[in-house]
Amino acid sequence: MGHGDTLMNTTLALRPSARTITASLALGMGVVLLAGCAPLVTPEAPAADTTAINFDDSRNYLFNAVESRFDSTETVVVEDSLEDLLPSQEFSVEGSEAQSLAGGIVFGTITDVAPGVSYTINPNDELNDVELPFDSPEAMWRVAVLTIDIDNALGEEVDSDRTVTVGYVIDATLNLDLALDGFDKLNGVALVLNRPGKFAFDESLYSVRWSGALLGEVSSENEISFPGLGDESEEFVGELTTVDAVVKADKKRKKVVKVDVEQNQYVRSDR
Amino acid sequence: MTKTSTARPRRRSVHRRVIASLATMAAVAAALVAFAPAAPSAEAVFSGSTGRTGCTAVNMGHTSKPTLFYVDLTTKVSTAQEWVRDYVIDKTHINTYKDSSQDTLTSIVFKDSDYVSVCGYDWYNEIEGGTLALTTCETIYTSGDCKQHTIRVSTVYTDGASLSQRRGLMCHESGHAFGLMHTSNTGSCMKFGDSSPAQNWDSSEIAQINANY
Repeated sequence: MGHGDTLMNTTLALRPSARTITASLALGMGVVLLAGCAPLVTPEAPAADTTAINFDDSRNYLFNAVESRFDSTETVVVEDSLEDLLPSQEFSVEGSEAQSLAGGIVFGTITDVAPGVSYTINPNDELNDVELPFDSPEAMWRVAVLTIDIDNALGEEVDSDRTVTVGYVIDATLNLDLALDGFDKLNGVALVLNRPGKFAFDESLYSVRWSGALLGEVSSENEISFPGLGDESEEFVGELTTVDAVVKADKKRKKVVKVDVEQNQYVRSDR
Repeated sequence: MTKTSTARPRRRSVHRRVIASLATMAAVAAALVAFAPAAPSAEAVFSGSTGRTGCTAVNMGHTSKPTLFYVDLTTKVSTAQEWVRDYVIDKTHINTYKDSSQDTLTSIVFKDSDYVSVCGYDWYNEIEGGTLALTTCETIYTSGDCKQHTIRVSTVYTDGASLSQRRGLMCHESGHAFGLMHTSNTGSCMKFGDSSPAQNWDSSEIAQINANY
């Protein structure tokens, strides 16, 4: 992870001012909220924010949010392991042309976090979200644009690029300063990507599979984990516990897996 | 592909602008979440009162007598949810009541549609799969408990789902609304990603609900 030191030093240099701004505003706004916005804020609640404004813990804050997001839904997909998402593992669903399920797997370093847009739900038509500026207070969810310098990339669509840009959805109720700092705290990342096209405001952006839950970490020992999956990370990773193992597994020849959809269940030819 | 070049300098100006422009919002959010307990451990089956609202909103409800309102639900979803009331929720201390109209005191609002992008999730389609349903917390009490949950269900999924799948799905989402988290136990409908889900909560989950309501 060649960028690790640079990333951390820059991050540390940035943090005090951001922390100062946020802490002072948090105290001020907390008083306003406590005075004027009952009943959602209890008068007995601690005045803002010794816990939330803890930049030393922003990595955990980010992954707690990812896990909470993962824990708010029920999802059914074809794959059940990282191995299924290797670019060399192709699936043919209901007779369609065989292709990999993911748009690629990327290992690298986040070098920039930029604003995208935000959205809220149209109360009269929940199928058409309302696009808003990234910093809109009306937002329900926001899309941050992450730039990742690639160390290793698997998949034809991403392996020729030196960087990849990814739209990443975060909840609007998060402390955004902390969440963004959480991205900075990740020395090495592993991202399982969908193909581009999810975000209308920039269709070139990739998105992270499983609604963002497959944002993983790579340790200094090159070990992979997906903290947003909680206990399920270990089972999902299986034997592909390191970057080297993933790269090696992707080079093996594999049979196309045929998948039939029978009453919303994916029936695989390899099971 | 192994990167061989030296590290490029980080572009910081945009990030810094984002932080500056969002400091006020962050402060508001911080004030709102400051009193929230730490996120539950990964092993927990019960979230407890987290103080969370919004799209990322694992949070228990406030009352053992929640009111439910169905917003023009399809019959497939409403009948499955009614079954869950009678045969799943009824095995706990919780007694649910149907609300005659939706208002700010409604505990759980149920909606279904062919969702594509609500809350930025990858919603279900037949070929790729995806999110079948989502439970969010709209408002909270001073205690941090959720005042009003919304459960959204994908009709793209339920239209083709079997009766047992629909019951399992509504069991799963109702569990989230009462604070249950995902489990690895295939004997519970709270098992994540189970296309042939159980139609009940397991004994530990029932015990957690009974202990907290």
